[in-house]
Amino acid sequence: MNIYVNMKRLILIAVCLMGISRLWAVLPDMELKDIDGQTVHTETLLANGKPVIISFFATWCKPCMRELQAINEVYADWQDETGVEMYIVSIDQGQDSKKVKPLVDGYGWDYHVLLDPNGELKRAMNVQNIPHLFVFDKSGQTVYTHTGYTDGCEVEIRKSLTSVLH
Amino acid sequence: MVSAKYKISVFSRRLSAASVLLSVLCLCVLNGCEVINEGERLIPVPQPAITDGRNHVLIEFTGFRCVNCPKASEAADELSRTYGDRLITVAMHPATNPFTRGAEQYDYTCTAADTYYLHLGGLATTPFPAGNIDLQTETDGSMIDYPLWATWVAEQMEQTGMVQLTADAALQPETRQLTVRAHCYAMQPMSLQLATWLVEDSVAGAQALPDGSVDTQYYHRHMLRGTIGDEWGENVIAQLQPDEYVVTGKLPEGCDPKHCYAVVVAMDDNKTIINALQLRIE
Amino acid sequence: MKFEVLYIAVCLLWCTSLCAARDTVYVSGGVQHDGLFPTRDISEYRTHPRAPWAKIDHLSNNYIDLAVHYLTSATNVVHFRGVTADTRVEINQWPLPGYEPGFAGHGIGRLSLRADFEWGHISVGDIYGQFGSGILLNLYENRDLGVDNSLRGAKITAEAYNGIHLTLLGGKQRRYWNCYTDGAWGWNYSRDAVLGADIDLELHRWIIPLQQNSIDLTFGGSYVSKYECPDTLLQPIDGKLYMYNLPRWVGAGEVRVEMQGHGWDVMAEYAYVANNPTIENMMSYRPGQTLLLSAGYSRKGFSVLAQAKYSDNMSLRSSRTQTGIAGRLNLLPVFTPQHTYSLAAIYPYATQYVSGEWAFQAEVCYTWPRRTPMGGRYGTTLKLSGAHVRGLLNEGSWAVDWTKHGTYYTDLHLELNKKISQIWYLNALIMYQTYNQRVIEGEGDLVRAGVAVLENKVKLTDNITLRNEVQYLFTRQDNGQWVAAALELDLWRCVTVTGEWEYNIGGAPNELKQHYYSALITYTHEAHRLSAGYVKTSAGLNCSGGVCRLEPEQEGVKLSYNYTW
Repeated sequence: MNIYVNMKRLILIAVCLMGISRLWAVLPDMELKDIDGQTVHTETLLANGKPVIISFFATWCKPCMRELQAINEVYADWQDETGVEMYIVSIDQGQDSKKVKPLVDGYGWDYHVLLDPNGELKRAMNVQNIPHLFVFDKSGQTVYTHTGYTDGCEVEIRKSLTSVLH
Repeated sequence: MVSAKYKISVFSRRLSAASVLLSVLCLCVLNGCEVINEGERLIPVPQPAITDGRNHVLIEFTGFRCVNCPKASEAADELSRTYGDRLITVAMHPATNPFTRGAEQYDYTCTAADTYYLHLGGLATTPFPAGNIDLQTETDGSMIDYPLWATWVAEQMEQTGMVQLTADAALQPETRQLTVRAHCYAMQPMSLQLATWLVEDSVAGAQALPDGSVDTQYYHRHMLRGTIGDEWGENVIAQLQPDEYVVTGKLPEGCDPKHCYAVVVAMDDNKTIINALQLRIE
Repeated sequence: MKFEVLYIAVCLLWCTSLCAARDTVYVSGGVQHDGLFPTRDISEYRTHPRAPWAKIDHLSNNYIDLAVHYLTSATNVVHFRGVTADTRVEINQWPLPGYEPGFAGHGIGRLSLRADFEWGHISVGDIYGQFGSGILLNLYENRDLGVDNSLRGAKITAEAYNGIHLTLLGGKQRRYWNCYTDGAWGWNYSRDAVLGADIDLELHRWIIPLQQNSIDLTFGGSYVSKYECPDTLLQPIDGKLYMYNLPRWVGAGEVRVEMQGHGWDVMAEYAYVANNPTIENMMSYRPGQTLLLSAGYSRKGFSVLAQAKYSDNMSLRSSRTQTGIAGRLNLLPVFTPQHTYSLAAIYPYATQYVSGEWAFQAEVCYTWPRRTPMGGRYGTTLKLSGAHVRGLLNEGSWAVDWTKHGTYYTDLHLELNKKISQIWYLNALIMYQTYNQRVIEGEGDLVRAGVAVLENKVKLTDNITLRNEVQYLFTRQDNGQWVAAALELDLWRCVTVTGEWEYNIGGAPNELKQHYYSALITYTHEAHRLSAGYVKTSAGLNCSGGVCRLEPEQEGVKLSYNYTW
């Protein structure tokens, strides 16, 4: 039947694409504001010689909240071990971007927060589904990227961070 | 250590760029706004010449739950006052759209309305009120919002007719059998479909209004109740000496013969109406 | 045809992955496919009347993004830093159900070139951008809704001096495709142009007392003007015909001020549109106005926020006869919370359908720290949010309509997040909602609903986590009560099995008393994500940022694939 032929084709293409596992994401240079109103150039985020995690989220995205809560529990340990800095980028539009600081402070998170209301950085990094997380090593190369949240992927992130140390 | 000279050159370059951009901004502000005062907003246009020619059909898609449809109905009435017999308005209530649901004791839907609605690409998600002129299908969708009806009708009115129609309709009160006889005249022989619509005026019923209430004493105007014969009509040849087209059918239940009238429509191969005629029932 | 394109795309990806040069030139991109194999007659989901629908068994939205970046660190006179070329290919001839007729089509949806300089950047081609909160100009892309309102033109952004940001842009707005029109190129643009200018001043960079007190003060202003040739739009009045005298230039301006510091964030924004008669506002010449006010205080563990919005006749479009999702220039911010729990999102507020409103919202969030009586062992977070939207007494007035008909939307909810033990998380939500169906959907009653949601997440082993959700909605109006449940199993950190079920207990007509369910398996490996399963969903509004799309009922096999590199 035609349906199954099409489905098989699509699954074949997906499997071929899965074979490409080289990671190419590079952090483009954009000007964004952080939640304290300061302008931040994204290229400066990678200039400290420390690994960096960038995670895209929105205040209405439940899996994003789960991911950030889960990482929050181990973030202090990661910072001690690897010196990593985590930047969470909010894609909330319009007035919703005013809800980001109350949300982050309300939950008591220690992350650096950037605002991307027009989705400029999101478009430049081809992010479609959130949460989407990137781990960059000291020289700015991508070592790990993950889309969606599956419980326990903090373990994978930690593995990629420790591999960066060596 | 950055030298002062370098700092000044950067500053002056940036300032000159800024002043260029600022002056363009000022130019936009000064030119980019046109305010039209009250009293100058409507310009009278020459009134259309009401001559015999091609008649057009304005199809109004409406429903019991559609709160803005009474306004659309008023817009259609204004157009009727302007164009008289040259514009025939027919209101259709297709069951496939949720705006027609809910008036159980007053069912205004008919299968013909669904047929024409789906032909025009109408979906369950199309918002009402929506309109169409002469069953024309357009590239970007065939449903027109009611503020645009006047403009579209005026555009269509400029077209000349290639087919002339004459017809009469007779009703047998006891059997409720309606007989319609029509003739189509054309200079060159033309093949077309001739269909007969049964339309009823002043149908008493209910209608949701913009303020949230439901008016149970609302009189629905020019409502399509069904077709006499096939929905897409019968094939006839329009010529100088045409054959007679005769169709007979029974009035649907619930129709009041006093308020009913027939509309004979002539459609071409694309199912677009090329002429129509409104008939009183004798 | 689309499979050939997909095969070519895969080959391209293989080639680029083999390319070595990454220091100065690199390629990035993404592939997205969302498909449905409907089990019902596919012609029910027909979008465009002219698209060829015979022999089609599969609906899908497909996007391929490609960007080539060139970076240079060499110093030069103009401080040139690099250039990026972006393109996006879309294959949406037979799209998923619920999109507008114009959305169906295929071709190059985006083509742009961007040059980066130390002082800013210049973009040519399809540009996106936002001025302030987006109430005058918000050009963005949202694939879920089918929104892509980019301008094909040019944009310059510059930081003229420390703290002065200027943006200037202009172009013709994209409006879906015109592939089914004879002789068309494929992409469809508005006939006339839009110009915009924006300035942002960071006063705290020059005013020393502000810096000393750690207070940020920003002033901003924008101007948007759209040029449109006058159309012949007629209006019959008492049997006589009149023509509208339409303005060629429609101008809109905005001013905004924001002050932040010591945990406080206060903002005010006012926008004004001069006469803008369009089909959407029934050819009204009255000006449009919007006022946004926001004040919030937050510190670690506690936050409070209050906002108010007035808007009247603020819909800006590039074409005065355009309605629907395409062709919007601005995005009026929605002032109501967006919910992800399915029953909490059954009645979402859509600000796009309302011509004028007063909206208020407030929220308080507090986290009790760990090892306190209220916080328990791991801490507890409680959040109370409320939103209320009312109509205007008369068109153009600032007075609120306090009558029953003026209630457009209310949302009051309390949310609890608590980690009960090492392996058990609890989330609970209780909500009261009122929703004016007549105003928002065009027909219906004032729906009053109460929603309760309970969510548990239990870590069964190191590699297996189970999450379950139970939801209940109670209302006496519309379709009555609903109940829903969901189960999610996360396995080995890469596979997710999800099952969801919804049932309309109170559905009066027999056709609505159905079970709606979905069962999906998702596999993620780094940047790849593959999801497949069977879904049967009820009709509903899919909303994001106040713009909504009505999705009809769907049933079939769903397949999704996503890859970014």
